[in-house]
Amino acid sequence: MTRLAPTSVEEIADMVRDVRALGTKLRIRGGDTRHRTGLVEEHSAVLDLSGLDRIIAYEPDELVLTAEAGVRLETVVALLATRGQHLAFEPAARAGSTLGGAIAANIAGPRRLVAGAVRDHFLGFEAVNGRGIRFRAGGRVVKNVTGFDLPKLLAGSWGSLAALTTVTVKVMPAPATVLTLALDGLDDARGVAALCRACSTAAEVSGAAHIPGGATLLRLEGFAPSVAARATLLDAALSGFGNLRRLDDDEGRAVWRTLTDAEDDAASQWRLTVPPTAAAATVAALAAKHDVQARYDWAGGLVLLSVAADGAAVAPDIHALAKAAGGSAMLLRDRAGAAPCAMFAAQPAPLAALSVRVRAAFDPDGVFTDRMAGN
Amino acid sequence: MDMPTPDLATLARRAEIVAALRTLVTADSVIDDPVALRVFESDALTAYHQVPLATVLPASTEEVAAVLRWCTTNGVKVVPRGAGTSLSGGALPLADAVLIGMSKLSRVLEIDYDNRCAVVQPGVTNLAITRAVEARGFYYAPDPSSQIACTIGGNVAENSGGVHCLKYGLTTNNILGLEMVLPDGEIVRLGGKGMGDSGYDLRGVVIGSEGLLGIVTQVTVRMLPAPQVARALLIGFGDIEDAARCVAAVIAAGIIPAGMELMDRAAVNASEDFVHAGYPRDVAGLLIVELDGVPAECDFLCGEVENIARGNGATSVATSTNETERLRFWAGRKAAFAAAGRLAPDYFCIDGTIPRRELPHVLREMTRLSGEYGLPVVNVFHAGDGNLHPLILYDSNEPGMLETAEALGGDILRLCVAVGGVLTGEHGVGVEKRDLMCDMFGDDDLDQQRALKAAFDPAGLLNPGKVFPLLHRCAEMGRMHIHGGKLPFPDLPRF
Repeated sequence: MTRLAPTSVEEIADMVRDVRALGTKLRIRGGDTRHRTGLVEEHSAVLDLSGLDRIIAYEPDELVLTAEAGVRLETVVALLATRGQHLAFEPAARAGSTLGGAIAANIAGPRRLVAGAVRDHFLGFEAVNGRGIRFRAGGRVVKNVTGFDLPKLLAGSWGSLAALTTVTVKVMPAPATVLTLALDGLDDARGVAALCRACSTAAEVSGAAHIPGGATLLRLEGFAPSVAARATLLDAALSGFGNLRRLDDDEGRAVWRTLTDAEDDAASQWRLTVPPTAAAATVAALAAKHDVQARYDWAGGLVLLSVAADGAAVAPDIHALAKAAGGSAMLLRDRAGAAPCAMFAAQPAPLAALSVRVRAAFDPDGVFTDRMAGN
Repeated sequence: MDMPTPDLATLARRAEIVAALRTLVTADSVIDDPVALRVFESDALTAYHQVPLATVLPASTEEVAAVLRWCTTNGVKVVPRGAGTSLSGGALPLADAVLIGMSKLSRVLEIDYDNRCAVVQPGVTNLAITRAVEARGFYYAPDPSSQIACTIGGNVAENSGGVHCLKYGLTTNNILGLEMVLPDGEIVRLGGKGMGDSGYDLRGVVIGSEGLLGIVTQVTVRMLPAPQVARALLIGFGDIEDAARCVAAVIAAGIIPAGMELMDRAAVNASEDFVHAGYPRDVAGLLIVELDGVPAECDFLCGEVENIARGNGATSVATSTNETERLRFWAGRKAAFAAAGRLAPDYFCIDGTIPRRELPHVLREMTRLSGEYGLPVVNVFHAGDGNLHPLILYDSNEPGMLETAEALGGDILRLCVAVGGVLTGEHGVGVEKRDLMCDMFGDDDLDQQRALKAAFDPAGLLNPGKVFPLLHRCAEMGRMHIHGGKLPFPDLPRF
């Protein structure tokens, strides 16, 4: 396996053209923290973008940051913190992740509920497509409708359309105060109902999670007087669900960081996204057939599932239940040694055909490996 | 502005095309009467007009699919239209294209309060969504100024913004799912009520695609709990650069206001003459900052913003104490376009976005260009997100003046791009800024976008002549710089 470690965009373009000429495939990698997600097609080389790691421009007043795609996410987060800012989508990333990788995976954390997904913060980019041609799209300002919104399409494309080389993201002021509130003793359905109730108030809840057998958690962020007032508002709105307990600051901040896929080689890890009201029943239906552990985030809109079985063994049931609930599921990480399993359910034929054409518009010969293959 | 040359063979088949369309939808949903068709000849970019070949008003997804399938099979171009409020000519008809109006698809299909979303047809107006859910304390956040008339389908096509998008995002950040008909008549669902991925985010790229990729037939929107209160500050500055610094300082303090609007002296005085909102007239710049949330938050932030304003040279600060006063603070801003309309027979609004720090420089340059072209410019500005709305005043009855106004607009937009900004923040490219795309993008960038267009619409039948320059290579476009009102080809027909 050849590892290509370009240090310039020109080199990337040359490498893509070379691999295209050979008729083989190239796997794009950033921090390589999600290498167990999706299918790995046969490839002759790995395009390691972690050497492209410069911050190009950080403009706190403009709420934007432009960096090379291989920059470590930790580097970005630390830089933003020096100016009291953050990535509002709250990357649910693993240690060593790159900014480009976080965008390509589009996996957002608890604040996605109010702040949007990674894609909602991805403003513009430069990239090399599967023809080895450099192109750019979007811009470096927050408000922009000039041309197709290709950043949205590239976010969550898992490196199958183009190699991102430079990216511009929107940054936001980090909250001055964070308060985590907890309800105890609720079952899944009641827990999710409490979360939905909270999200229907004017409290601007920025985190809403339920841990079965544990607490039902709500997060408030902002300026101190506002957070205090909104906590009082929630006390009243949720009085029917019990007393809201205040977590201390460290415990409160820590609990939200745990809401990502578990480091468990014995289970397949899934992200099930459904309308919140369907979440608990969907989990119950799955639990009737499989050994399932679930945690609820996004007020029930996201279920982090850990299933003690190979992905392929449970995929039909999970996809069927997700679809029946009006949602979808993603296999984020399979069991160690499991047989290959697609990330997503098969799409209806017209959508699948459209997706193939969209991919070909960027990468006509399939130079980049497609982890989403098998759809 | 040139549009693609109409296909004479299509024009000759008009009667046949109308007859065929009448077999696909109820007969009275096909309009071919020349007088009745004039209703559709223009959108809100009224400088351009063209009567369509025919207009179809489908009443269901299936009818949209049938019409699109027939048009594709028969090589007939299609232009989609919502309420026709586009400011960039996105819904401008073509002489040889069928116009598909979405006005009959105007029902709210489902309101799901527990999951905080609503499923609506594309012809529902933006404001009607909020009206449908406000009794239960919810609203739909994006609020383009035309929200009383514009439809959600049009908002999706244009990725519409509004004064509150600094805090609440554009249309794209508030849409969960779409049902769309592709040009070949296939129906696809992109997203849904869930917030997760199941493949490429095609919904994300369809939003803001200006009707070039498909016709949206159903929209699932996110609804938000309405803020308990909103309060506004009206802040005057003797120097517009102080106002720009104040905007930056508010954001640097970690405050993201619900809205932050700036008007220059000309805009303040024009709107004051018109609606008498009580704005101070002796200011170089007037800033409106709106804060919303729980009362404690508004009270706290109003105090913070006032302190920041005074620290940045504000000459006057007023904070609304009740809803009547807040609405009065907004009345002048909301009437700014209409007020500009009283200053001259016509105005031309452009909407480039710039990095906020470039505001003083861009304002100075706009003043210079305004003098050079001999056309006054009135400035209102979504200051929070750097989105300019210069209104170029002109008289379309004076020969060549529209073209001069367009040329001035083009120069202002090139200036926006040159300082690191973009051609359009929320109005779309349409026909208006189509020929400026080469000033922002290179051939390779546009080729990639065209390739995506072809993935959805291989025959190129959907909304041709919009967004992309007509000539394929940017070098062929040349530069149509027009100075002193001298057009290179004043006798060429334009519409």
